[in-house]
Amino acid sequence: MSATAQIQATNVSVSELEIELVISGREDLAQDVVALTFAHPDGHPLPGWTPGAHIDLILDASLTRQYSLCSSPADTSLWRIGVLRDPGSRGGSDFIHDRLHEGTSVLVRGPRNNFPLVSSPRYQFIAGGIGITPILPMIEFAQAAGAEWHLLYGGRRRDSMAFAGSLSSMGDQVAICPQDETGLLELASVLGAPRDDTLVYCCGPEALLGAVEKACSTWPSGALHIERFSAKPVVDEPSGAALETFEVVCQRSGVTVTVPTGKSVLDVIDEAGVSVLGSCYEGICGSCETAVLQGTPLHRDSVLTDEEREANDVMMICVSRSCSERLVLDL
Amino acid sequence: MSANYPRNCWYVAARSEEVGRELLARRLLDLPVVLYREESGMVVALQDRCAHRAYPLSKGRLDGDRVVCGYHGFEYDSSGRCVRVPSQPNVAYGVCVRAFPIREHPPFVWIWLGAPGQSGLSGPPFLPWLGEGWASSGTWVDVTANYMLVHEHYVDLTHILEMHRAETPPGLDSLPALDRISVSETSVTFTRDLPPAALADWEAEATALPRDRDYTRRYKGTFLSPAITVESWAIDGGDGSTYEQARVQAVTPESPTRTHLFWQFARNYETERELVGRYLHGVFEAIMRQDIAVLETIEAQAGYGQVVRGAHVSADAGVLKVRSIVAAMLARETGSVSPPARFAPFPVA
Repeated sequence: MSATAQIQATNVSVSELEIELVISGREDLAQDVVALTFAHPDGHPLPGWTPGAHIDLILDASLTRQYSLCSSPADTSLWRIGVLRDPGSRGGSDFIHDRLHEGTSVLVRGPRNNFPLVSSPRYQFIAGGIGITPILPMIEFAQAAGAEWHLLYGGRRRDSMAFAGSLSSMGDQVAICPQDETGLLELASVLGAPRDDTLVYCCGPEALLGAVEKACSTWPSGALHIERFSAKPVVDEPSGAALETFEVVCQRSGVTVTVPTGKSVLDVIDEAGVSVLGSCYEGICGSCETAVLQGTPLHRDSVLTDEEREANDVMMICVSRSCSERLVLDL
Repeated sequence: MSANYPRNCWYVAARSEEVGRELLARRLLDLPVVLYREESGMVVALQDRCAHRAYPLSKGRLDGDRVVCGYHGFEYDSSGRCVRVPSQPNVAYGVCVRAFPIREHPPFVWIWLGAPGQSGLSGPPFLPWLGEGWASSGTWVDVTANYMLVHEHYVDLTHILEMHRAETPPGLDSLPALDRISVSETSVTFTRDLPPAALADWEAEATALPRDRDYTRRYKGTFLSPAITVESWAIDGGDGSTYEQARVQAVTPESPTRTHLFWQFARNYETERELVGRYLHGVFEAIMRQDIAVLETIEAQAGYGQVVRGAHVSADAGVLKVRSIVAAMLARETGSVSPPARFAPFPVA
């Protein structure tokens, strides 16, 4: 036989969908908040997504940022995000505000969803500042599903709060609470009494998330869903729990590696030629979620809930490590 | 096996030519549905169970745009509202059957069987292979197997060396498991670039390319939703031409162990030549029937529940991504937060 092809099956590259999109609209939404609308350059429909999903903007080789989609999943002709110019910007929001305009092409990855809207008869939405973005499609969904819902939306000042105008026209279901008018959000008013018919979805700055987590501590487990913009502050780990080095077995690929101090599981596996997904490398985006078949991971991510951590059946391999000498992963 | 199909998804209910002025009964997602066309040509789908004594409406008749039950003559309009009860002058308040949203994009009639009100939050997927520049033909068949067995079969092509040797380009002794997999929240795309190989008989016959040289091919498949998987096989003609064919398979669960398969085979070359289309249709329908025989055997012997607990190899990377998407959809629908709403892959036993 002339052409005999033998190819190693382990040469599989797994990646997330990446598309070059064009900015079809740019609009100032509020003070320091700009909305960007993306469309396919050839007018093709964009991939599907569900409320709570986010995309990566790949701004340059070393600058990738995650933004929640705030348009409607029903409209496959466009994706929309809202971006706050962050005074503490590490470059992402400045780049977007200064350099992305109508007509600019941007490489976009995703969508993915770590903040999925689970079916429920009632929702309590809580948003702080730009954290309103993933909540908008959730409200559309809740409305269509005939679920009862309420939004508590806080911000510094009314003119800094994106979408405050259109949301305030939705009636009693929406409470808009600029801090300079009404002070800090009164969480007790909506979270004071735990309810078993309600799911709480919250997105906003760390201080708000922490307060909501505390207020929900008496709620049924699984009721609270939160999305973080940045990595969760490191909590105290029992000393000696994390092993300096440990072995990782990639079950499907048949590859075994040793993870040393100072290197992540993801890096070591990737160097060994096993293709894995990774995007933020901070434990916040969820791309590198991997099933754990054997062993006990030491979770250091900001994605998994306490219940999911305790189940020990998945881990974010970009930041999490191991409590056992050997971890077997479904890779 | 309990139901493992999401309900909040557009599925294909029928091929366009199946639905006319006769009542068509079909079980979809374990719901009895009756389909027909109004005089205007619009497709209507109603729950196939009279609100009175549960007799299937499909056993009745059409009177204009109304369905008349074959038992006591209750009449329903196309919104599902009961508009006439022959035995009394008025209709009891609120008597109705459920009407399902329909979108027709020939050759498929799509139906929404999910939560009422949510049909507008998404639409049937965009299928360019059935649009301009392509010619296609198709058929439908009932498969006695769980719908995920069908999807997963087509997400991992490595079965062709064993099952469809004659249709595999000669000289291809192994296939890369999957060269590249690309995932989004709702879809998985898998691509294989195949090394140069001679033409298989069907390729030579359909394309009329010379057989005295080797050709490269790109195989690309996409799991678009739990309702549809599309694969394309593009032969590089060597002179800038591409001979591409696509297998578009709409997979609609009838019940946890039965599936309606709506199969469409498309090509972007010789689109005017009916003979080429008929030839390809014949070759690939035969392949589809061999595939189904295997899937039905697995269902009968073990069932999908056992397959999920089977061993996984590199070639299953795409299958596992597909399962994760379906698992996340199911978790959102059931409102379950434990197991996690986010994906926990099916473990190896």
